[in-house]
Amino acid sequence: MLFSSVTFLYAFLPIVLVLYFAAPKKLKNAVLLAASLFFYYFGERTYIAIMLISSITDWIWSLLIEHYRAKGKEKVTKWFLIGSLAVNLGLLGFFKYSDFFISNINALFGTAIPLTNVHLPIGISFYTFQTLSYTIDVYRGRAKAQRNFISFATFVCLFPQLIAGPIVRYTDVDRELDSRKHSLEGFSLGIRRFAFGLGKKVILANGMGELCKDLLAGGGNSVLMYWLYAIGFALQIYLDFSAYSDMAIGLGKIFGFNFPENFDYPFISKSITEFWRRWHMTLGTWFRDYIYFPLGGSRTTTFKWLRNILIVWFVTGFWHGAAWNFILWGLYFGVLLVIEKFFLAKLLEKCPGVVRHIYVLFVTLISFVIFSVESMTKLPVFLGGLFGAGTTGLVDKTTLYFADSYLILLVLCILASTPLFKWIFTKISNTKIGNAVFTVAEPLSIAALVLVSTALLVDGSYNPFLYFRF
Amino acid sequence: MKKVRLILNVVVFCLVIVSLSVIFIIKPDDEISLSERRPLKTFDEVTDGKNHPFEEIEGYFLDQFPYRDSFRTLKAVLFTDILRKNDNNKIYIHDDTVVEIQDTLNEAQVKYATDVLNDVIDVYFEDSNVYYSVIPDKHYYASKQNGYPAMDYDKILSTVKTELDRGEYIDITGLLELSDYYTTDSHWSQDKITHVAEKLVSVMNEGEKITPENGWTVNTKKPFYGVYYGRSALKLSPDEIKYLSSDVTDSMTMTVIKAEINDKGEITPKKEKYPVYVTEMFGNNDPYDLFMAGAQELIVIENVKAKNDKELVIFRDSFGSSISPLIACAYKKVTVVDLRYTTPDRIKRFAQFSDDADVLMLYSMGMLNSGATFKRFENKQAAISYEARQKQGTYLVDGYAVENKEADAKQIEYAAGVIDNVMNKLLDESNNVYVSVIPSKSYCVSRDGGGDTSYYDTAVSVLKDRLGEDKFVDISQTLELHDYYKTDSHWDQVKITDTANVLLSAMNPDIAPINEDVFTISGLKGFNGVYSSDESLELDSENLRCFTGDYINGISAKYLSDKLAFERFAVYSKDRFSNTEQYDFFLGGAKTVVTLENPSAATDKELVVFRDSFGSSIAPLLSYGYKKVTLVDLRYMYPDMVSQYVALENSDVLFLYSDDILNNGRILKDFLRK
Repeated sequence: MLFSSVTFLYAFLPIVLVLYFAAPKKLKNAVLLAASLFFYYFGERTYIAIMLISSITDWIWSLLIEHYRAKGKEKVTKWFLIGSLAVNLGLLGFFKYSDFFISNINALFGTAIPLTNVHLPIGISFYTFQTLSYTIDVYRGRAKAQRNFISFATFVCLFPQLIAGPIVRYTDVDRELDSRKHSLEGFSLGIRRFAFGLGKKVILANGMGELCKDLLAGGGNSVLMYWLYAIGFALQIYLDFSAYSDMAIGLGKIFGFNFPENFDYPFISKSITEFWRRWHMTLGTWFRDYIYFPLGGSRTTTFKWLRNILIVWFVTGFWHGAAWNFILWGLYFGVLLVIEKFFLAKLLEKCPGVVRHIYVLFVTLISFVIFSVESMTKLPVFLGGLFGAGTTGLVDKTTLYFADSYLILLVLCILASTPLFKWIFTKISNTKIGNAVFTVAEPLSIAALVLVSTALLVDGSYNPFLYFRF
Repeated sequence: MKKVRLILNVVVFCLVIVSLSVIFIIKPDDEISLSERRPLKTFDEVTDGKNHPFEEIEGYFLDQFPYRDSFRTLKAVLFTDILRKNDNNKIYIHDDTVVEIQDTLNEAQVKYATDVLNDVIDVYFEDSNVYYSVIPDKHYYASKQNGYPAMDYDKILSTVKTELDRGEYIDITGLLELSDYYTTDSHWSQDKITHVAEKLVSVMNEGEKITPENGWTVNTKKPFYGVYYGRSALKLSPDEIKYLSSDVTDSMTMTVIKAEINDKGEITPKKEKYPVYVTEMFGNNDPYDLFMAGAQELIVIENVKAKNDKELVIFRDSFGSSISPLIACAYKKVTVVDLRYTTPDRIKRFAQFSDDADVLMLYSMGMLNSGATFKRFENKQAAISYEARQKQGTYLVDGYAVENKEADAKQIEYAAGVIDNVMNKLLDESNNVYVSVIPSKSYCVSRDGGGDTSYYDTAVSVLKDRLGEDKFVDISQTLELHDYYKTDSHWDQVKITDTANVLLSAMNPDIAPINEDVFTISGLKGFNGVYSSDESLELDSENLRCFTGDYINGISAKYLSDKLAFERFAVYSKDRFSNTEQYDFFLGGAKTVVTLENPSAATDKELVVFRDSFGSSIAPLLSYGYKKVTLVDLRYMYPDMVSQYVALENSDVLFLYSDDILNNGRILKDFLRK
C-alpha cells in the first residue's frame, strides 16, 4: 500500500487513527503492530513471513546475547550475532541478489544455472538493516534487548517507515516504544509534514516521473533531451524519496515517534562529501557505523582507508540494486570522495560557491544517469548523449515541447529542492502579521495539498515509489 | 496563535479525510462514468474472486471516489491553467478545439492492418475495383500549426500505399481542416464533409452525385459532449451534431447484422432494421451512435432511390458512420464492415454482395496506428473454400447447406399454366382458391443478406401475373434459414407453425392460431438430408423433429394405393426413415393423393392442397383448421384423374409449391386432354 493512494488516505489511515487513539496506552503498540502487519500483508501477502522471520530471530538472538552475557559467557554471544547476520544477510542475499549472481556466473562461465525468479519482498533492504543493527547494538552493549516481542515487532514492522525508511535504529526509538507522548503539537506537525510530503510526492515527484517517461517515449535524441532527462530523473528521485521520508516522519510524529531526518537539501551541497551528508542520511550513517568504522575507518593506513572507502561505496551501490550500474554508481561516488579527500576539497574551497555548486550538480546528474539506466548497455548511449555522442543535435522539436510543457513544474521542483520555501516560511512566520496569516494559510494549504493530491491520484496519474525496489 | 494553528491543522485535515471517507461509504456505486464513457469498477468486481481483493481495491476506490469528475477537473485546471502544461493526459486545446496528441507511430500495427485488408481483398474481391483512403486525425492538422510532437503521419500514408497489394488511393488530406471536426470529439462533422464524400464518389462511381438537387436538410441534435469532453475534464462548451438528410437518405433502409449465439452455441446473424440516422441513439453514452447506430459489425444500406445498380462495400472505423450515408446516395446498396467487431470469415456468411461490388477501405490514421484491433481471418482457407463453393452452387451459412440456383422463368410459366388449367377445369365458384410459394433456403439467405432473390421472386411474380394477385398468400416473411434442416432443402416441421397459421388465417380468418401446447416434440436421430452426400460441406447428421402426441394420433390418414383405393397409414412412417429419402417419414413420402381427417379440427371445412414434398410436413398442421385435408401431388398424378378421387366441390383449395418445384415446373403433370 502506498501512502500516496486513496486506499491509504481515505480508508487505512482514518481507521488506524481512530483505533490507535481509542486504544488504551498498553494496547497502542499492539494496535500499531496489527495495522502495520495488515499494511504489509496488503501489498506482499505471504512474503510477510520473511519479515516475521527476521523479527522473531533477531528478537531471540538479542535475548540470547544478553542472557549469556549475564552468565559471563561473552564468547558464546558472538555466535548469536553470526546467527543474526546469517539469517538477515541470507534472506537479503537470496531474495535480492541470487539471480544477479546466477546470471553473472552463467555469463562468466557459460553455465546455464536456472534463475530463481524469486520475488523481491518490498522493504526487505530496510527492515533487515533495522533488525541487524538492533542485534549488533545489543551485542555491542549499546542497546538493551527488548523483552516484549510486541514492542520489538512494532519497531521492525512500524508501517510509517517499514518499506522505504528512514532506516530507524532501535536506539532511536527504544524509549518511545515503551513510553511515548502524544500531543496536539506532535499530531499537528505530523499532519503538516505528511501533507507536504504527500504534495511533494504526488505533484512534484510524479510530475518529474512523467517528464522522464515522456522524454523516453517521445523519441527525441538531442543533447537537450539527455540533460533534461538527467535533471528530471535527479529531481524525481530526490523529491520522491525525500517526500516518502517526510510522510514517514510526519506519520511517526502523529503516533508519538521521532524518526531521524533523512534528507537535508542535498542539491545545495558544495562538495560530494557534503552531498552525502545530506542525502539518505540514515543509510550513510548506518554504513558508517556498521561497516566503515568496524573496518577501521580513516584511522588506519592510507591503503586500508582507501580499501574501506571503496568497500563501503561498493556496498552502498549494491544495496540500491542487484545490478552493475548500481555498483558502478556507488564506486563512482567512492572514487569522487577519495579524490575530494586527497586534493579536490582543498581546491574547491578556493573556488567561488557557484563553481562548487555547478561541480556538485554536474557529477550528481552524471551519477543519476548511471543510476537510472535499466541495463549497462544503455549507459554509453545516455552518458554519450549528454555530450552529443550519437545525438541528432543540440535540441529537437519533441524535447522542446516537453521542456516548454514542464517548465513551470521543473522550476517548482528545482526550488523545492532548495531550502527557499522553508526560508520564506520561517521568515514570514517570525513576523507578527506573517504568523497570523499562516494561522489560516497553513491549515488551508494542508487541505489544498491533500485535495489536489487526491485529484491527481483519482485521475490515475503516474504514481510509483522509486525506492520501493531497494 | 500557535495553538490555534495546531488545532486548525488537525481539524481541517481530519475534516477532509473523514468527510470524503464517509461520503465514499454512503454513496452507492456508479456503474459507468458518463464523462469518460467507460464502466467503473464496482465492489462486485473486488469480491468476484478473479483477483485477490487487495489487488482490486485501489482501482475500486479510484473509480468510485466521491466527486470523481470534479477532482479530475481540478487536476486538469492545475495542469493546464496553473502549471501551464501544454497537455493534460495528452489532451490539449488548440483554437478552442480539444485535440489528442498522437505522437507514437506503431509501424507494426499499421502493417498488421494492411495485412488484414490484403487478406480480405484476396478472398472476397478478386473482381472488384478497390479504393482506399486515409482520414487524418485532428492532431494531424493542429500539430502542423502548433508544432506539438506528432507521429510520422506521412509514414502511415506511405506504409499503407506500399503495403496494400491492390487498390487506388484517394487523397482526402487536402480536403479537410481542423474546423471540420467537432470541438469536443475526435470525429469529423458530417455537415463539413460532403465535399469529401463527393470526392470519393467521383473517383469510385464517376458521374454520380450525392448532393440532392434541392440541397441537404440540415438537422441538429444538441448538446453533444464528445469523447474529449470527458477526457479533458475541463468545462467546455458542448458541440451539436448536424446530420444531413434528403428524400434519398430518408428512404434508405439500414439492416444491422450482429453475430448472436443461439441455444446450440452456434453463431448466427441477428438482423435489425433502422433508418440510417437513429436519432433515439443520440441519448446513448456516445451520442455519435446517431450515425448508423454506432459501432456495428456489419450494416447493409439499401438505397431504393439509387439511379444505378452498383454496390459498394466499405471497410471502416467510426469515422465511416457519418460519411457512409452520404456515399450511399450514389449506390444501390452499401455494405459497411467494421473489422474491429467482426472477423472477415463472417462477412460473406452474414451479408451478401455482388462479386463486382466496389470496395472502399476508409480508415483514420489513429485507427491504422492501432491496427491490432482489426480481427484477422480465423480460417482464411475455409473462407476461400466457402467463397469458391458459393460461386459454384452449394455452400454453408451458419452450418446450413444452401444451394444457389438460377431462376427459370419458362419452367415457372409452365407450372403456372398447369395450375391455371387445374383452376379452370376442376374448380368452380364453390371453391375458395389460394396460391402460395415456399421459399428455399437460398432465398432466406439472400433476402437477409441483400443478395439475389430472383429464384423465388420470379416464381411469385409469374404466379401472381398468371393466377391473380388476390389469391396469393405470402408466407416468405414467416421463414428464415434456421427454420429449415441443415442437411436438407426442406423445412423443419416444428418451426413452421407460424407459416401454417398465416395460411390458415388467410383461408379462414376465424380460425384461432394453432395451439402448440397440444403437441409434443419428438425426434429421430441420424437424419442425413440431400446435402449430406456432399463431403466438402462436412455436414453432421441431425435430428428429424416432428410434432407428436394425442392430437396427431387422432388424425386419420389414408392414401390412394396402387389398387386405386384409399388405405389407412400412419401420419409418420418410422420404417420410411431408414430409406434413402428419410424425409419420407412424413406421410410416407411421394403419394398421389393423401387424406387427413381430424375430428378435433377447428372447422368442418375441407381443404384440398396441390402440393410437393414440403406439403407432407405442413399438412398435419393445416388439418388443425380443417376437418379434412386432401393432398394432391401433380408430379405423380394427371389432373384429369383428380376429380375421380378428390371431392373438390365447396372445398378450399390451396396450391402450395416450393420455388424449387416451380423453377422445375415441367415436373408437374398437365391435363392429358386439353
